[in-house]
Amino acid sequence: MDFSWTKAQKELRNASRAFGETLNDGLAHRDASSTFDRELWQRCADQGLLGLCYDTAYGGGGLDTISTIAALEAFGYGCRDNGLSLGINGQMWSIQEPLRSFGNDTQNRKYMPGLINGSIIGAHGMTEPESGSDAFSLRTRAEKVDGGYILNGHKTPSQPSPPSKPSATGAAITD
Amino acid sequence: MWSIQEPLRSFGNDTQNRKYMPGLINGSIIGAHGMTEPESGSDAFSLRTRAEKVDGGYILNGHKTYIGLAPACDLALVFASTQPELGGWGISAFLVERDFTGFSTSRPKAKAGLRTNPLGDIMLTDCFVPEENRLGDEGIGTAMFNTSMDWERSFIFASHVGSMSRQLDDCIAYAQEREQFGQAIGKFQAVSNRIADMKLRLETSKLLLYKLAWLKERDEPAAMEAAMANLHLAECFSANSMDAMRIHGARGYLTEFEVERDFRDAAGGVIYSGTSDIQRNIIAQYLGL
Repeated sequence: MDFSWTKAQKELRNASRAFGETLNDGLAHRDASSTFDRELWQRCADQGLLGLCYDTAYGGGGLDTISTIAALEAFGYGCRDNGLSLGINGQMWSIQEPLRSFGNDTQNRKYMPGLINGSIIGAHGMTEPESGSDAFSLRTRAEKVDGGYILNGHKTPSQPSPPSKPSATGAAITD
Repeated sequence: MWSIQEPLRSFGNDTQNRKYMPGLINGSIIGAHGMTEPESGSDAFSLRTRAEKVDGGYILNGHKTYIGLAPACDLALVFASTQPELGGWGISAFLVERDFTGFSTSRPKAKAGLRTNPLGDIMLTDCFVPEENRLGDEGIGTAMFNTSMDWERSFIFASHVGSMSRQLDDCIAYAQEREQFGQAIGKFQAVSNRIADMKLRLETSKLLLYKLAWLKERDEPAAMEAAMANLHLAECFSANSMDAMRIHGARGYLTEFEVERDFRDAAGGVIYSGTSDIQRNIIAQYLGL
């Protein structure tokens, strides 16, 4: 059992906290106007936050889980924008993680680099108007057709939804 | 272990360690920690027991109360003032043997829980203690008490975390087997959510305890961590014991089913080794408040 941070983890924490502190300007205004600032998201990606524990082959940092959490915690100390830090964590743990665990090489090569470098923002679509805590009663249907599926359904409230491109569990495509 | 053996190891000289440590370890000597007095509880350093210097030793006079194991002890670590005018800085510690003239203990006091652990008073009436039985230098009592309380606070509940773990296992087994309204009571959220809360209290208690052991092993300052662990473990054992009683219903309340005993045993934890409120004061003090 070891509760200490390594020297590298301490440095990573200091850097993450210091970086987080640079994102606080204008937060009161963004909060009041419910503004998602894509530029700040990009800066987080440039800092390497989204790739901390992901494969270096996809532009990630290749770090262990403890170091990753150490960095994310310190980032949250520095960055007062809890919405932004939630979004970063949300994409990492609910999009990138299933992609890493369940995705094939082609899928990972196609989406992971973009998710890590900030060019792709991912949303996690599970909840529906009639299925909240009772998640597996969802009504969105994927009908098998030649070469793929036709999806019909409505996901709500999914975040960060408005600016995002791919969605991990189902895009609201209306035929 | 934490309030007698630990100060003996830290502050005792070789002769004292050779004389008492083997017996404390092999069970032939039972030790009691004599600090609290009728008029000094949380305000420990306002104690009134006096140690007057005489040829070859000290004459102790005073009355210690709520002392765990006092009625059964063979040896007591007694805190007494050698220089009352210095207040907390004039307190010294003494290893007092039961056979010393003027040393006596009360009968065990009846109490809500922990009834198998006798608690009582120590009376010192013109009790002569030889100089070689002073533990550490004169005036070191406060520092010693703080150090030994640090250990006591840290680990006095170590075994009670094990109790919480066993208690949780019992509650889960009961919730799975006891049926009401046509199903196991564990299927009702009122019961299962309560058990989830118990599990969370157990795991947070373990983390605090393990981290504290890790800090102490590394000789790192851990006074605030000790207070946090003491506070959290005492309150969690108490809360879990109440929940265990609720889960067992009437069986939980009846003595014959042996569930309510934990509730009574846990209750003292929010009082001894520093009340929960004193632990909060310590934490706040270390936070600069």
